[in-house]
Amino acid sequence: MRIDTTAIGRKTALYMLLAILTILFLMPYMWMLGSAFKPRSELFTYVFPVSWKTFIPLEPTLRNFSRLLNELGFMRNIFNSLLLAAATVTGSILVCGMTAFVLAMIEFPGRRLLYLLIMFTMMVPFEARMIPTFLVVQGLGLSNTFTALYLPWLADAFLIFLFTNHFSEIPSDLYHAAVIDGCPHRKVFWRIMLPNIVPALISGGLIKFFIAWDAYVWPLIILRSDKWQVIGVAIANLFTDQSIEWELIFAGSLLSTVPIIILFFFLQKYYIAGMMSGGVKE
Amino acid sequence: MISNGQDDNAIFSSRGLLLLFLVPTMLILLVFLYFPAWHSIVLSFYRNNLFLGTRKFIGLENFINLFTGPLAPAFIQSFFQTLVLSGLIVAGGISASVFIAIQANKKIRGGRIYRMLLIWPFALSPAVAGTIFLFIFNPEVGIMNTMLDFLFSIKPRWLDSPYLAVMLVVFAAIWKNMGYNIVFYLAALQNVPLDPLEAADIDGAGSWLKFRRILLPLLSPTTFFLVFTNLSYSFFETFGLIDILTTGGPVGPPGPLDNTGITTTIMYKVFQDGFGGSSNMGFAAAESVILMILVGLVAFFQFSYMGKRVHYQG
Repeated sequence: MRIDTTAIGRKTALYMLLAILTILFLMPYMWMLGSAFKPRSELFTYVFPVSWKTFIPLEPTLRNFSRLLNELGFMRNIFNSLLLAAATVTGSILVCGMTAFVLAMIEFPGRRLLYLLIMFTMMVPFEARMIPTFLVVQGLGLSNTFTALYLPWLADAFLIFLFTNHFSEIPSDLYHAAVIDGCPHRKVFWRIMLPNIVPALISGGLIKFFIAWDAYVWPLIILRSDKWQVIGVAIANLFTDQSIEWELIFAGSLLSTVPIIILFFFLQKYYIAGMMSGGVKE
Repeated sequence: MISNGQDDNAIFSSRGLLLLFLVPTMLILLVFLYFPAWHSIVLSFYRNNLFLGTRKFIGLENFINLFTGPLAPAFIQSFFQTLVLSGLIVAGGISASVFIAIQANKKIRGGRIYRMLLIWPFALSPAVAGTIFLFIFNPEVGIMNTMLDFLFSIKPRWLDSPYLAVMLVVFAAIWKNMGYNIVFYLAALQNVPLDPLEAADIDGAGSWLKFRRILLPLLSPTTFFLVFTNLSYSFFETFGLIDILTTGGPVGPPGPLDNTGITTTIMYKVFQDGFGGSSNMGFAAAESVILMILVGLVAFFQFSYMGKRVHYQG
């Protein structure tokens, strides 16, 4: 009997601990969610003591969203971010997929060296070469263009690594048979190779989507006008005014997390698999 | 393109064409990666102003200026701060993640939901994560100060007092990256053999002893890997958070820490020097060369260790 009560006590303590942790992780977000629908007058009224009124608006309003989208041009920023994510995901899957296909399937002199040269780029994070990259893009006359936002990110060592691993698990007989039957490489790639590594494509694409959607530093330095500006920077720009309009910031942050949440909840299996594939294995 | 479908030569004759598949990757890497990395080194030997468009070869002067002269104290301070901030982020983040992952790995109802909720802040953008923290810790209206005011009648000015600002940045950076660490620990915990733990239970070992003597050693390869990825994260990827939370400030208390903002990492200083008012690109490039050497060292240790103890998939 005594053993039972300690066991139950322990289990309760564990549940409580996890509940507290989850609340700590989630509460800021719940707060943001509720506040995005609050009128300004209500925003800070029920902050403490924490009650349901902290999170649920008494007079829910969509005005914050309509102001953002109609008056502050967030529609354009969201469109830009979506376009950027789409271009980055499709472009990088194509570019990295082609490279991985060759690296995994074909023997040629210098293959290993090339693979190492590509993998080496993972060691130099973007931030460390931000300035010269900026100068190159500027030198090419691309600063302030949409192309500059996605082009440098299409070749990604991590994606090449991921895809090469998955391609090399496809039996090479399949590839050889197709080529001998006269199927052009373009078709082998499209019809046989890519469909065989769909889970890896989803993992890689998802990671690229998140990176592109969350882009902040690069658009901040490469874009000088608002035309192609992305949502992350647009939210940060809301802070520059003399008075910070928190209700707008919450609405903007909420808009910018919606695609992330949807994709994360439905595809988290692939996302975690992708994250892990660069890691350690016992 | 392929003259004879039945010929084995088909594989060979089309092989040359296949190398065209490599062209996009090679071009992008050359133009946007290898060239800039090399250019960064070249640039560090010049005095270069982005806005004036002037450029003059000055040898090692930029590097000398990093360590002596009027510009040196700010750089040395940011160098020191980078190490301290990274140490705090790595140590704090990893110990918190190990603890949380072990709790979340226990067999409980709804465990999957817990795990998912713990992981997901990792998917947030730095802009949104920073926004959330700015609001929680806003001195006038934030929930933290409302609570502290109610309980202890204090209202700390989180972003204006140097040490609190450091704490805030460290805390936000840990929170943001915790999901990443937890994923790896949860995966490692799935592979932990149950026998030693059961044996320890029979011997009556307490949970601290089990953790210290059995779990921790078994998790050490993961810990080692995470120390390096977290180091790289705190060197570079904290940039966005810092930019939104503190913009590198506030200036530290009088003394050795009053030469630049106390949350200014080398990374942030590169950005300030390169794109800020003075736009001293050459000097900023010299700073990024130092940064690259730091990363190189980290990568070198990581690889020499990984080669021995762990292997990549595939």
